[in-house]
Amino acid sequence: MLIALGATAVAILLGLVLGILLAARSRVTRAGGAVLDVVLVIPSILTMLVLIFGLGGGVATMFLITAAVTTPFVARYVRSLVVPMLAGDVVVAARLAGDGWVRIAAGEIVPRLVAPLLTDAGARFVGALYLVASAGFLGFNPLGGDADWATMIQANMDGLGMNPWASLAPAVAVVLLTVSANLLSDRWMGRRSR
Amino acid sequence: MSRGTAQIQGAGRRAARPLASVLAWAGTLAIVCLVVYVLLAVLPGDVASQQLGAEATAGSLARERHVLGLDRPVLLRFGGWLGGVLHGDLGTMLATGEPVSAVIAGPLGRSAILLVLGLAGILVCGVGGGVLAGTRAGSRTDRALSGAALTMICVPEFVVGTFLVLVLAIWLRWLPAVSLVPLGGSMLSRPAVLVLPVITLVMVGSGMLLRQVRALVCQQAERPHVEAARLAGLPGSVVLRSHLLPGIAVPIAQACSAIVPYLVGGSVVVERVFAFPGLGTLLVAAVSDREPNLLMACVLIIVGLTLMAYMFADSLRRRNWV
Repeated sequence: MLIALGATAVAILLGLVLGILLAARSRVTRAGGAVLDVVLVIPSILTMLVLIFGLGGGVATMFLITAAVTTPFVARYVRSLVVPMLAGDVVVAARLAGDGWVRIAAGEIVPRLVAPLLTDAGARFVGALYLVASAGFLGFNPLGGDADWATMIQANMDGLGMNPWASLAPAVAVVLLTVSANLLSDRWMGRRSR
Repeated sequence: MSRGTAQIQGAGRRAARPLASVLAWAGTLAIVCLVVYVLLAVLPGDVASQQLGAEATAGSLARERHVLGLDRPVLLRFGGWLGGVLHGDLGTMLATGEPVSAVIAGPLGRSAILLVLGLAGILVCGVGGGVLAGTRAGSRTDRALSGAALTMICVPEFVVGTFLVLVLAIWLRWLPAVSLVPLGGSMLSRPAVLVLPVITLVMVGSGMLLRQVRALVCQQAERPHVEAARLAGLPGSVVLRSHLLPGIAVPIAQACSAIVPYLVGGSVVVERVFAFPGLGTLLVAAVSDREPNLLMACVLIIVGLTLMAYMFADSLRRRNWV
């Protein structure tokens, strides 16, 4: 839970920088955009498993993996927001006033990205939560030592007939968490668009 | 340039396009595999240290690496692996020495059945439900369908699967909870074991597709030519078939092919829920038993599939715009 939250925060910061950089027009960034597209197509579960193979389970790895998988999504979103902004009046005005690109990025672009990124954060958080939960369910003990809900569901699957609640209770808990996180981010999104 | 040569050139370019996209697919796939290969080589915990365990000394480790060929440069090793793949040789399992292609063949076939059935179900439910909900936007049907889709998206696959097992297999006893395949028999000889995994995949996957298709249909329904057809008094089915759907066929097809990467990833988890002996289970085993060749083979297949779907969607988009 905390892993997902922290990793989402890190991923959003990384994705913010990456997305702004990729919005600039040059051959390098076009190549970067193509790489981003390919990375986004690869199922995140596969990325996760490859990284677990190399690094093993544990809290630190899980944090790294979640951040690594979430960052490209944020970067793409930021790029899609920044590209139309570059042609907009605000940036043109700042450009004519003689501001450098770094200054424009920090002063004009980033403040306009905060609100959409916060609403997007809800979806990203749910995605990160899924990933950590899936890792637990696949038996990689993502949090090391302590039992998490997903691991509990998996561990008690064998005795599902005898004692359904051993798996059902953590399952219900997972549903409550993900559904409420989704509803919350939807609510934010709705309030913003109004 | 005369018109004739231009036409011939155009025809040549059209013929070259499929070839070019196959080449682009193979090239991208090779690059992704290279990145994964190097990543696995660079990350700590290589096979030699895994095999020797805790009592490994620096000397025995170096010897083992030499025996396994791990002391050669990583790019050379990748070249050897890629050359083998091109000849249909995926390497051998480290623990047993079996060729990976023999290990992977059975599960791959079983997963293919699961994926094809799942995809068919998702297309029917997702597109059908999306059109149904989109054409009746705001109605009770729409709200029920959209709400169900949203719930399905919110809930992780393994939770959906667990609930299904509990209700259909354990309480009602209609279906087997675990995908036990008779030894040497095929999955199709016991179709009952396929039902629950396929339902789980369809429920989650069609939720996503339904929402996308619904949004497309709603947007298109407000376009002037659809409005005109409706006001002209044409029956609803005719408006739908010949005025509304043709305009959004391409984006719908794109949304459908975007489901494939999800399906491939989701099936890994779903297979685990039902202990389905397929590619996903094999992938998880490759990670927990540390079999790099098996892992690379799974990466090759999964990335190959998802890239193919992505490029298909991309080619549709280009055709639509040009």
